[in-house]
Amino acid sequence: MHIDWWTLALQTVNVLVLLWILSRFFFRPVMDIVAKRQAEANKLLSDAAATRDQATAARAAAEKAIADVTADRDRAIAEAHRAAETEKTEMLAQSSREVARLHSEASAAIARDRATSAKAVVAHARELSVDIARRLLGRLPPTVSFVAFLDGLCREVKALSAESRADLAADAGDAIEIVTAAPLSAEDTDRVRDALHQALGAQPALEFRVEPALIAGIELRSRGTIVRNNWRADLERIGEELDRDERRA
Amino acid sequence: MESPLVTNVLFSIGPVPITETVAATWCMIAALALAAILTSRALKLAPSRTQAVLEAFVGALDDQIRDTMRVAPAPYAPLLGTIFIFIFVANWSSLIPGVDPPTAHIETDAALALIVFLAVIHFGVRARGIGGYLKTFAEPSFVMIPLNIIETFTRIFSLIVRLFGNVMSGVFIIGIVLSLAGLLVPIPLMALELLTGAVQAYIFTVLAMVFIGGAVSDGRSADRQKEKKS
Repeated sequence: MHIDWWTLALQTVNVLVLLWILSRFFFRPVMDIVAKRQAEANKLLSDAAATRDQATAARAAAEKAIADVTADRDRAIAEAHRAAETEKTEMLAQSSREVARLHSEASAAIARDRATSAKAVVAHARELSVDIARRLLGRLPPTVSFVAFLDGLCREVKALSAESRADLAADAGDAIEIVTAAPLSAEDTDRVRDALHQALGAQPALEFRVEPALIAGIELRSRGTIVRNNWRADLERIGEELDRDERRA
Repeated sequence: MESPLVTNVLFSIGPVPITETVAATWCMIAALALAAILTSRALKLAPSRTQAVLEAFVGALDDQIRDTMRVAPAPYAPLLGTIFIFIFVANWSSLIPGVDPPTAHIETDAALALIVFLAVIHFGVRARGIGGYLKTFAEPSFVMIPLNIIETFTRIFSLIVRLFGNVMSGVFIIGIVLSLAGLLVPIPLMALELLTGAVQAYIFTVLAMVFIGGAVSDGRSADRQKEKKS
């Protein structure tokens, strides 16, 4: 066996050339691309980590914002509750005041109505009583009623103090006015004159006059004294008493 | 039958004879260079299936270097990868009819061993310095200097003989069987020879790793510092 040194040298050069070619066009590019991919992967990992950190921070910020919004909402709700409560209280107070005012107004109106009604009732009752009295009186003979009223008038005159009767008689300069509801007959006129002269204990002049408003009865009028005994006076007195009772009520 | 030990000269360039072995190697280099250039142009961040296979090969080579030499693989991967690819492709070139594997000729194996020998010295000196590298011959004692020097050459010689013997014997046996038996009989032997060729490529590469690793092993710290700097 012999060794061809030229072949040995050429093969050595060939292997070195192949080493250069593969190193230049295969190993280094492949190692570079692997390293580049590794760097890209590391960059992606770091970017992903950074993105994850950003996402975590964003989530924390969002949670904080949600918490703030929730707190604001709760605060607003509480304020709204307080405002509503205050407004409700104020409205209730205002309503109470309004109700009280309306109640008082209604009470006053009712009182006024009641007073008006009572007055109307009294007036109506007065008119009714006058009407009733007039009708009842119409059933009696005029003499009967007149005698009864004349007796009453004489009792009242007698019931006056002596001083008053003396004053009444002293006013005779001016005739004493005798007012009746209906014209008197001559007989009744004489009867009145006799009865009054007897009751007064004097004989003053008498002047007779008719006023249908008296309804029934007789009334004595002098300059300083009036003695009534007729239904109109009775009815007026009754009305005044009713008014007093109502005012007291 | 022609002896595999004989190299035929195809032509000469001046005084330089161009043998069949050299021509076959040129063709092989051209094919590998073309493939490497095409591959390098098609490299992308999102790898194709072919690129994934190539990256897996480079990754496996790096892992093997790390496991064997305990150093960063980057400075050594091109040399060791080229040796593996060259021997593997040369051994499997016997599949092409009429082509003798270049590694079946002792000049090619000697060239590979010579490159490993020079690489051991180069990486050893780079890792340790000249003095440091020379001191390795005195380890573990001065008495071992002659033996270490002899070992340096004998282990290179063993590389040559191992690869040459295995490949040449395979080619020889297949040639003998082919001359004696029919056309299909050598096929199992050829398949076995392919397996032997792959194993021999792996063995040669791993032994080169071991030799280079032995030369740089005490200088690992320097390499690590360089790696950190880079």
